[in-house]
Amino acid sequence: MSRAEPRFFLPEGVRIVSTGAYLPERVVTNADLVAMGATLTAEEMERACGVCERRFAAPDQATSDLAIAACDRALGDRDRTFVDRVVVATVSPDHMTPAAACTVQHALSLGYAPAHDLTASCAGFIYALDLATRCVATGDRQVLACAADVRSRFVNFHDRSTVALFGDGAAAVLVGSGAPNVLGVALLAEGSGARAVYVPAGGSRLPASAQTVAERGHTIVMADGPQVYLAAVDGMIAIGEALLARLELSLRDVAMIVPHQPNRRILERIARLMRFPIERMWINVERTGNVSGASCGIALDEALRSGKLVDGSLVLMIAGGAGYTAGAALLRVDRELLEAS
Amino acid sequence: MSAERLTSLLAGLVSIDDSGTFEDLDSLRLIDMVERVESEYGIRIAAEHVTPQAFANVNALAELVLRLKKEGA
Repeated sequence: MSRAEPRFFLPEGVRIVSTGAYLPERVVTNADLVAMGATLTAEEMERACGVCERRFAAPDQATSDLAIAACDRALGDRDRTFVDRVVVATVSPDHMTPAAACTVQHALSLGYAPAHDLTASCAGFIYALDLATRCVATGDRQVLACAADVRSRFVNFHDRSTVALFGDGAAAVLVGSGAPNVLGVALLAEGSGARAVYVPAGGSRLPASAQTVAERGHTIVMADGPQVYLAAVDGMIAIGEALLARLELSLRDVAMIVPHQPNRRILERIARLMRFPIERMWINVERTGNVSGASCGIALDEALRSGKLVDGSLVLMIAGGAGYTAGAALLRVDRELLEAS
Repeated sequence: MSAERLTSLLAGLVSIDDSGTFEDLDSLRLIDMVERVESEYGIRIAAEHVTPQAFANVNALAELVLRLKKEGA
């Protein structure tokens, strides 16, 4: 992935109007995972991935419920009739069909706004942001771009390589026209990695059956963790640096990196290899876990509320995930966005 | 680059048998090894370099390190 060439979109007059995020109430510690059947100790989990706790959705919550909460926070009391599209990036939709976005659209009283999902795994938030900026650039008034996942329903609690990683949550941005703060987006995919991290059963390749359930075929499989680990590092660095180069900027111009949160060690490695101060990288993985596509958006929402960004700060978002997919986006934070967050 | 130096560097991180073969090399230990070797030799080991052959034993890993140092990775 490091040698691949991303596709760029440098929008004009497109901005993130506001952000919102939602984490379920239930906190699940590493000790809780041990009680659920994990075969690592709590200390081993923390050392392996730096995650101390994560949030799990309540039994009656599905992905759309989390997305609705995040989108509702992003919308606030704004006039919802201006929303011309809703896109939800997810790898754990409520159902195989229809799109979770349709449930979100209805719950938020967004009229007849087109609503659809997209699947880009851990790069989902940036893929959704890319789509939203393109839609606004070509005529939509406002677009809700959301990433939401309930990964806890797809975790094999006996799988040492994945049991500690994942959490549930959602993030959303309202994208519209105006003084631009989205300077550029870069995306790529490298499909040769499609089986590196995947859920084998439940799709058309291997439909659900008693056997697939018995064999835990509906849970996340990551057969070669080190390869995924290093590929994620290489991909996230490469696409971030490529976007900066395309915009004729460098890391010296960047106030903060807001990355996808795959695990703490990956983020430390990225900071070291990019020679970027880790204290200027927004890291929340120790308390959220890897929330797949929503991670980057949740981190952005937190960073904007942190008081560490000011009018004019450049924020580089980077993400990489299953597929492989990768994305980067560069924002120039402005006062209006800070006040809206 | 010597196998002896690598063996010493990786002592305590992974079990190495008399023939230099790594034992019990799980994912976590492999990542630890990558980062310790990178730090010691000032190289960068990318995903494409992490093959079963390269991480099978001390001699194979020494060859990889030597190659990456020559390439300036």
